Amino acid sequence: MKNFRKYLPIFILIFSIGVGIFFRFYQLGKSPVGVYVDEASIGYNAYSILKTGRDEYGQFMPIMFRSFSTFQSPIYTYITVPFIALLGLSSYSIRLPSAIFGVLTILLLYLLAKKLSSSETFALIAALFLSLSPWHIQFSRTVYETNIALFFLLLGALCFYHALKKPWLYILSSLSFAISFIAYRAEILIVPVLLLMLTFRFGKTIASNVKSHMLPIVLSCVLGLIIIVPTVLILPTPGFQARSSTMNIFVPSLQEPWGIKVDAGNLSWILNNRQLLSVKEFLSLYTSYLSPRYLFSLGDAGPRKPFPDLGTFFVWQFPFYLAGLYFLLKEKNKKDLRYFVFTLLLVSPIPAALTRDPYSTLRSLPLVIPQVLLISFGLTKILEMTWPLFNKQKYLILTILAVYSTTRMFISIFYHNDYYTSIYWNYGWQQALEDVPNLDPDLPIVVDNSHGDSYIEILFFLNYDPATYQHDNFEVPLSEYYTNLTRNTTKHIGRFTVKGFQWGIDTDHTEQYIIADNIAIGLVQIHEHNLTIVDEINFPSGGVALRILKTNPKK
Amino acid sequence: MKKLLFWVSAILIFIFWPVSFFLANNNAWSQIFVGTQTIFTPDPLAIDIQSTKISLIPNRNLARIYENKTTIPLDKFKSNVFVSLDLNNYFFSLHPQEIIGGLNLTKYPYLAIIPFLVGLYFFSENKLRKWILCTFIVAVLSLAFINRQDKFDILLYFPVSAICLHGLRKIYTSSVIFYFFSSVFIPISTIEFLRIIFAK
Repeated sequence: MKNFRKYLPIFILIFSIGVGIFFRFYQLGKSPVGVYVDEASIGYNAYSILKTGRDEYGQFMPIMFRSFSTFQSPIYTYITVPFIALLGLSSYSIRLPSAIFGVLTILLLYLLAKKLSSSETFALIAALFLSLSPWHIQFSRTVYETNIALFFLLLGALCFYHALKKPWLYILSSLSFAISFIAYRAEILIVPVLLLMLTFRFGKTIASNVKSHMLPIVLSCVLGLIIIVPTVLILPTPGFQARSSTMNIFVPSLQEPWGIKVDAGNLSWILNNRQLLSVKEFLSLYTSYLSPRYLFSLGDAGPRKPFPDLGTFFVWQFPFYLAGLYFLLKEKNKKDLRYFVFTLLLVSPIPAALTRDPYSTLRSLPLVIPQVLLISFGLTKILEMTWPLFNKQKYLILTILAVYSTTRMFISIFYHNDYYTSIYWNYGWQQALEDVPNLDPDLPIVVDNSHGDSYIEILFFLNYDPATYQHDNFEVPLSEYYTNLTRNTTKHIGRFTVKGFQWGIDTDHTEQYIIADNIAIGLVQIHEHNLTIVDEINFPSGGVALRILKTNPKK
Repeated sequence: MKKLLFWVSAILIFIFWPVSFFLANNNAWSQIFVGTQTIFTPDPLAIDIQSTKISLIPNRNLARIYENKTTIPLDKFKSNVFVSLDLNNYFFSLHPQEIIGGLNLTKYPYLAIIPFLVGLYFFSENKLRKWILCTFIVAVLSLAFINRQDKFDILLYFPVSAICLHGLRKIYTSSVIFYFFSSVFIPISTIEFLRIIFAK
């Protein structure tokens, strides 16, 4: 019995990590079905770097990857390179880094929670809740830079707290923060604010140990700056600004701010003041990230973010969230935990709230950490306060709730998710391209690109030779890689030509194959232009994802 | 002067919801109860969706546990409870996830969220805390049984306003903070009030 109690914490930690591994690795690469264009872009560019040292546009080791002129952060792409070298280019190999870092984040959170609170129970509960978090699982199963950025953010924080007693860990902390800074755009705001808080909180401690801390701190600052300087230098370029300016609610754009009143009459100049309305919209978006309705009921309304019927947390965790908020605010001897949690809690929603997307779990992923910590702290305090009343009953109820929610999450992820969301994950390209060897090899194939950048799906699933692709396609001069946002919408990939589809020219005059979705070419047009349906790839929900058609030009 | 600013701020906090409610239902008082349904009213669309979900679960027993006759009303109940607990419901007309077909009223000026949060923080010092808590909980749970609760959630006007007032009193105790707060709150809330009155 004594041995059991001694090893119970390790057992619970291993169990938490085991559950985390299961939900992140089970059917990895197969679910969600399809590979979204951003995932394919990261994967193919990593493959291109592996084969040629250049991205798909021919740029040597880019600081940021151009990728449809949206300029993705580079860290995930470079981390994926060795995985592709080992396993080949596939949906599994590109999602594997995310799953691995997702599991490691669970361990990191355990160590960080233990450091901040000196409570084993609290740390174990936090690890378990993160391993079961639908929010974190979602981004650990797919190719999103934010998950990797979160890992390095936590690593940087953990190393900082340990560096207060072992100064040389400042270097690892600095490197981690720097990588997090360039790994995802939200961290460009979060990392400096977190560092500011840590400096403010521990400034006196560091100053009182100047002799032992000075050199490591100076070295860490220098190394950190070396890493972030290339990114900082391209911050003002049109390339970096492109995505921010189209998404930022404070930038005048074609989209009206929320709340415009159409019939404001003579008072329009004040009632429809753009700046006031933008501030109001920002505040509404900001508070939504802290609202129980989104956390425990609605979740993310975006097409690829939520698992069906799941919020970002489970409903039964709501009382613990409130308790955690209350107790952490009132607790006097948990200063480190309080500073860390409330800094992340209040700062993490800001980058997300600056964009128009309502409650974006992608852009606010760092928020999962303080909210998991709050829920865990609330539960820990309630367990402590009610000790030893009804212990067996309490743990039994909690276990039943956890098992019930976990099973529901399993059903949502592995039975429902693909049915309801395959349409948003560009499903169908792998199946369509598997049909290509059965087609007449002498005929060209035209691919419609009116609904997204389908060329990247072809490159990805064919594992098309990057050197050949770079040779056959031109986008912009490499000297204008970060400044010229022009896009060449026609792509040449062997016998494939990806372009804007033209009725008559592409359907009636040339014998060729056409690949398009149901919106680009419907059954009426197929009949009108005498096209032959070679194959149809259907979504799991039954609608047509893609069609392979053959033209029958009149001779 | 300070007292005057306090009362102007308080009036601005209290006046929004009744005025919005009156204007939204002005031509339809006789219809206010028409079409009101509970969460137990049969919902053919929800049943259809549930049938699809059941068909996707290979294990029949598992499907019965998670998708059964109680699932639909329970989900609606849960959703309604969290609508009542959503701060955006009171200060931002439920934006960014307004309820389609709902009233989505402007219930309070959005800057009133500050005295509300202050009032929540100092809630334990509020003399009416038991009354506020009981009223709030009973109202939330009662409203959760109604499908379109936005017509009736004015029940929550009193507890939420009481918290805002308590928070405003707390802010009032510090002259510097209060003058700064009211210098921003009063003009912006006045503009918001004019938006309710003069524009649709």
